[in-house]
Amino acid sequence: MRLFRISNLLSLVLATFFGVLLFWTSQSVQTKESELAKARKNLVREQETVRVLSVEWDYLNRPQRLEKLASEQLGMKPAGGKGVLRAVSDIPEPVDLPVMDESYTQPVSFGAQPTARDRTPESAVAVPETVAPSRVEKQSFDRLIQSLDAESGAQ
Amino acid sequence: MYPFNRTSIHLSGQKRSALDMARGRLMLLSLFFILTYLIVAARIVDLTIIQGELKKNEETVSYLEAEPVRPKKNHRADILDRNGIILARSLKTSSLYADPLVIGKNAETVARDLVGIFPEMTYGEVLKKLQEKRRFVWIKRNMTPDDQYRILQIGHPGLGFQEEQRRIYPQGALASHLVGYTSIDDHGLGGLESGFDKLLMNGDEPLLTTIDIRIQHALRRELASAVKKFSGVAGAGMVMDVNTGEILAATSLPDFDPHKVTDKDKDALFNRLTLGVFEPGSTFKIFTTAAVIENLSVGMDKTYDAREPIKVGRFRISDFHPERRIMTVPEVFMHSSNIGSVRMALDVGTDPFRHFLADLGLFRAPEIEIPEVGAPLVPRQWKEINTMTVAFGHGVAVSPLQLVTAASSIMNGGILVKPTLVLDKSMAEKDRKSVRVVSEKTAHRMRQLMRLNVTNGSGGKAEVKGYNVGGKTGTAEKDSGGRYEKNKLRSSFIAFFPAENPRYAVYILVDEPKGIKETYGYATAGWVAAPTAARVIESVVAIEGMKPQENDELGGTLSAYVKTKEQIAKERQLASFTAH
Repeated sequence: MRLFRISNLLSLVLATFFGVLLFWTSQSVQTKESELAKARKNLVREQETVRVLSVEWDYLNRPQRLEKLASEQLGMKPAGGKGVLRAVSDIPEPVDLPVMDESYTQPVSFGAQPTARDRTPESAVAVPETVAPSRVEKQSFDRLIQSLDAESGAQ
Repeated sequence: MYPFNRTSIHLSGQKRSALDMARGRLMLLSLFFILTYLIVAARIVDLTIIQGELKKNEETVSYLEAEPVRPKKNHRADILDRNGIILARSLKTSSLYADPLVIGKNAETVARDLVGIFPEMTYGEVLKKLQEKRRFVWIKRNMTPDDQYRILQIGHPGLGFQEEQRRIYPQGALASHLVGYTSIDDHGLGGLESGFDKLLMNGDEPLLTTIDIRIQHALRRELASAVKKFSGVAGAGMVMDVNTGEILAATSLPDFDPHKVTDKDKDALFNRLTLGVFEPGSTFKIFTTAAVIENLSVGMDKTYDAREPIKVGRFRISDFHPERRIMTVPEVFMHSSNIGSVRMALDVGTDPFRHFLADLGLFRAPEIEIPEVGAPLVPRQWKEINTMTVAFGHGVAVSPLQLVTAASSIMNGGILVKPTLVLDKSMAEKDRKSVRVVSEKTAHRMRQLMRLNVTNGSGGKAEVKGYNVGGKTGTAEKDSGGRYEKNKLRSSFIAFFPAENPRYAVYILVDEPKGIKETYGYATAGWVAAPTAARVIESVVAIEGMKPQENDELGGTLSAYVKTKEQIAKERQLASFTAH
């Protein structure tokens, strides 16, 4: 009997190969399964953490606290009905007041520059000029707002 | 003869034919195996390549062992506000216990470590606990995760954790009467927690309520400041969508912290908004006036004699601010004349008037999702005297919820609204059978009258520029043992805005306000509740981003009917203005 016929040898090699392959596959599946279980466990734990954190988030963002902080730290007040305007055009024009800026940037303690309040009347006269923007300026601002509206409308 | 028969092989005795036969059988066998393998191979190709391509997009079904059994919900469902902010949620917390037997001789070191983690405990106390002759002692209930981590770090074998569920209300007392509270064993005991107890225990879906926490806060802030300012004993407030009946905010003061509810604060647990029933006073004149307009379709020029107080038996019905003249419908409403209202109700007639009020749902307990609902107190035997007192809101007691619901049903255009705390759009659409209680015309008239009351009448302090508030004041004397007390008032105000097509109703009630210097000693609704309502409205428009109205459609529309009192009214107004 020819035990070591080429075909026998080949089938032996093949059988060993597939055996090893099968073993390897099953091992890797087991590893993956345990990884998966671990990941799932982590997921549950993370979800629990998220539940806790979102409660904490809402707790820290409760209106009483925000209001208290905003008034203490930022000097804000509850919004009243006067804060709501009908249209963009109702927004008062932002005006640069050089006098105001100066008094703002200059530290009071250095006091060399007079502040806006104790300026001589001549500066008080100058202020109204800057408050009312010229008609051209106002028109250009309105045009800008309209173009912005048109752009956002097109999108 | 059978060729493959064993006996036949044996009998033939010929070696060669037996070999042939064996080869034949082998061939047959190997053919069978080849065929089987081919089938298996074909099936593999079919499953992996042909069907695999098709099934690629389908949901994959896993048969792996690690697939977890869907974890059973072991916590109550959340309660959220209309924007998804958490009002109530159950969290897993760990509680620490010790097994003194296992700890044994280490008790001292363990006690020292524990005191290091929980500074509020004393060494002696902990040591005593650890040296008890038991197998189980609680050390600390509901620890923070940080503390738990540190316990794990010291790693004493005698310490163990037990997981418990704890209901957390991040908003604290803010919406306590609506959300309610739970017992130690996670059962709802009040508010929505109780009303939806079963659903919350079994359901996965969070309960989405109609409450807007921002408006709720604004309402509570303003109401609390009004109660404090006028040294009131209690307060109630509500903001309702007049078209859908959704309650955006509702508060009853004093309220309570749902985390620690004790039997002691019975007063705080009492929901004045839905459970409490009071004599509503003048706010009830909304219904009397609506009844006379709806049933008799009277014009605004119809007059009522309010010159003399009405005497019925030993009762005497007089006006709070006597005008002593003949007044038109708008004037009766504006001056809140009791005499005029009584005459209106008598004109309508006892039975139609009673039916009108019953149709508005004022005579039965309202339906709402929380269990704290008070049934109204209605005279059992209805006589003419009842019609007369009910006309100006006395001799009948309803809850603020009923009052607001009924008034909203008129002001929204005449469709009965059902108050609700649950935001369920699909249900709301389906369920909204429109039941008409008053005609559009009556609704319009009432809007005009309510607006007039703010522009020219007692509700002046409720005006918010650009939002055309309409409203009615109600100042009722509290009765104590059958007598009305002059100094104990219940001042309330119900406002609707914008008056020409109301979106929201705002209700404010302050119980036993005391007059202060700023109000010249007055504690009536116009001084107490109306300005509070105005501030709530200001907050609501800012939060909702409601644009101001361009013009005041209803303002001054009824001025033709109030001109008769030109002189008198002007003088009084002047007097009241110079007074402050």
